[in-house]
Formats: sequence, structure tokens, C-alpha cells
Amino acid sequence: MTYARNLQQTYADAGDPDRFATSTISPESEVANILISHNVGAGASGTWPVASTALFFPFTVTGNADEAPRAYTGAIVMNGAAVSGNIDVGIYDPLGNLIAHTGSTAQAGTTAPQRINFATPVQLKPGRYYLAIAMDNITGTTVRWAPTAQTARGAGVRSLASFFPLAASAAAWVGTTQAYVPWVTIVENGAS
Amino acid sequence: MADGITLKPQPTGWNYLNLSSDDVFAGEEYAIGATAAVSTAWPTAGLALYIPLYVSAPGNAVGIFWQNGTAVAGNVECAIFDEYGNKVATSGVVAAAGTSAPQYVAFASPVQLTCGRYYIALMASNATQTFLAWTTSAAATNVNRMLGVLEQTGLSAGLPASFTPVTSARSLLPICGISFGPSSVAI
Repeated sequence: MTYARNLQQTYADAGDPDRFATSTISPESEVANILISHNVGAGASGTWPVASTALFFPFTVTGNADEAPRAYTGAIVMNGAAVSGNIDVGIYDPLGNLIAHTGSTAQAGTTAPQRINFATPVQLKPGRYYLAIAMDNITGTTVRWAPTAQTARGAGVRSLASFFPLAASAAAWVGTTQAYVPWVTIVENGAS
Repeated sequence: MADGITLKPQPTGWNYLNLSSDDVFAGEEYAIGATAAVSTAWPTAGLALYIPLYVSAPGNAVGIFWQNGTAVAGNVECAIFDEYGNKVATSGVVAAAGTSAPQYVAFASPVQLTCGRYYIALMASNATQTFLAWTTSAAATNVNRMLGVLEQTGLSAGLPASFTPVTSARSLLPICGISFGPSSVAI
């Protein structure tokens, strides 16, 4: 039996907050807390660390396993002061299997959010996933945080070189050596 | 790793607001580098912002509040919408009153909120009205989009029964919240 999300839930705790937009700095993201606890400071424009390297950020879709899945309509990347080349944003399961991605998309619009829709909304059940982003050059920027690579790795961030565009399997990913946390969010509402 | 059950208990407050343990925009505002919330004029008369809110434990919502800034003008409505955009509780349209202070309105009847996702909506009928709000940030624009905040215009007469929101291309997060309790006591 599958239950609708949330409003029928009357038990005492439904897990961590979720608020229609899940980003690399939201409570659902593992790396978010280290940005505060390690006093990383404010996000700022920064160039992509290595061309065609993909970064993977663990996050949780909260709720009970028997709740209905949640539909994400697209991703938004907060671009920095310069844009260049192409980006790709996707979602992977814990084994490194690609669930959905935007596909290679020209980066556009400086110091502003760039929305890129998934071809069709992706349905995610409660569980653990990775939010992935890759860029094909090192001139383009995002608004990003720069914790040490060690702390990012400790939060479960992974990376994979020569992985643009995002491919079907990221099983060769490794603990990241990149000190780079871009601001990326996936959203449910088409109006976001 | 199988799909799992996430039941990590978390704190839940008596007053839910944008910087509480339930709404948790506090962490994001900190990460963005936002400075302290300041008195900020409402950008457009009749604008409503729909701010995501998560209720982590069922409760008896007895009232709603917002933080006025240094000037008040016109009317304000603050309400709760469910995740499908239906209004479930409201302050009603009331005259803004009291500068640099919270303004609290008790619900006509307490509302039982179950666990789940909601929006807290705030509307002002006058662009002179001010709220205590974050306006971020140096490195980014249109931050509301990254936080899932939506908006709707032309609502000076009051918030609708069912919302029809659009993109909120702003960086504006006013402080507002819900009070829970057995009794209605203004914060």
C-alpha cells in the first residue's frame, strides 16, 4: 500500500525538513552542515575546479518508504560571475546509476539562477541519492563554497574525472579531492 | 543501499518561523552570507510570497505572526497553505500595526496541522509596509528560486483560497511564523 505524502501522516515525526527545493546547502544535503560547522563562510563565485570532472553530493529524500514518490521537475544552478561552456546536472542512486539528468546545456546568465528542466519529472521515493553536476571547462563559474577537500570527502562528496556529460554509471567514483561545493538545487514546482 | 526509512528525530518548536528548527532557512541564510535581517519595504502592493515550511510534529496551531519593520501601512494577511496550494488557516486581512515588533493574530479556531509540508504565505497591500527580512546576497541574485519560494501578485484584497504561484525572482525572505500551543498567547 502506498500512502500519499505528508498530509495523511499523523505520526509524531516525519523526519528531516523538506520544502520543495533540495539543494547542496539545504538540510537534506550531507555537505550542508559542514559549511556551517567548519565556518566556511559565504558562498562566492568560483571557477569549476577541473574540466569535465563531475561532483556528487549525497542527499536524502525524507519520509517513510511507503510514501508516494516525489516528482522533481528540474534543476537550478546559481551561476557565478562568468559563464562558459556547458553544464550537466543529474541524480544518481547510491550505487552510481544515473536516474535522470538535464543533459549537456550551455551555461547562461551571470550571477543568477539558471533553470534546466528534466525531460520529464523524475520520481524519487524516500531514500538516499546523489545530486551530480559537471562542467566541461574551467572558465565557467558557480556560486560555490570552498571547504577543505577533506571535510567535503568526510561528508560523502564524491567525484569522477572525465565524466562530461553525465553517463549511465558512475560506479568508478571516488571520495572527492575537490574543495568545491556549487549551489545547485532540484525543485518540484515548475514555477520555481 | 536500499531505499530506506528516514526517521531521524529533530527538534520542533512552539513557534515556527523562517529561522526555527523546523524551517531551517537559518542555515542557508548563513551559508549564503546574509547579514542580519533588517526592516525592508514590501516590493509591490498586493504581492504574496509563499515560503516553504515543514511541520515535523503534529500540533495545534493557534495563531500566526510576522515581524513588522520600522514602518507599517495598509493591510497584511499571513496564512498557511498545504502543499497543494489550498489555504488551511489565515490571519485574515488585518491592518498592520506596531513598528519594529511582531504582530500576532490568533486564528478564529485552532487548526490541527499534521506532519508534512506547507507554505506560509505573507501578503501586504501597501508597498510602504515594512517587514523584518533577509535580503541576500553579495554573490547571488534571485535567491528565492533556490529556496523554493514562490509568489503571486494582485492580491491586495487578500490571499486566495487556492494559490496560482509563479517564479519569485527576488532575494527577499521576511520573517513570519506559526504559534502552536494549547492556548493562544501572543508571542
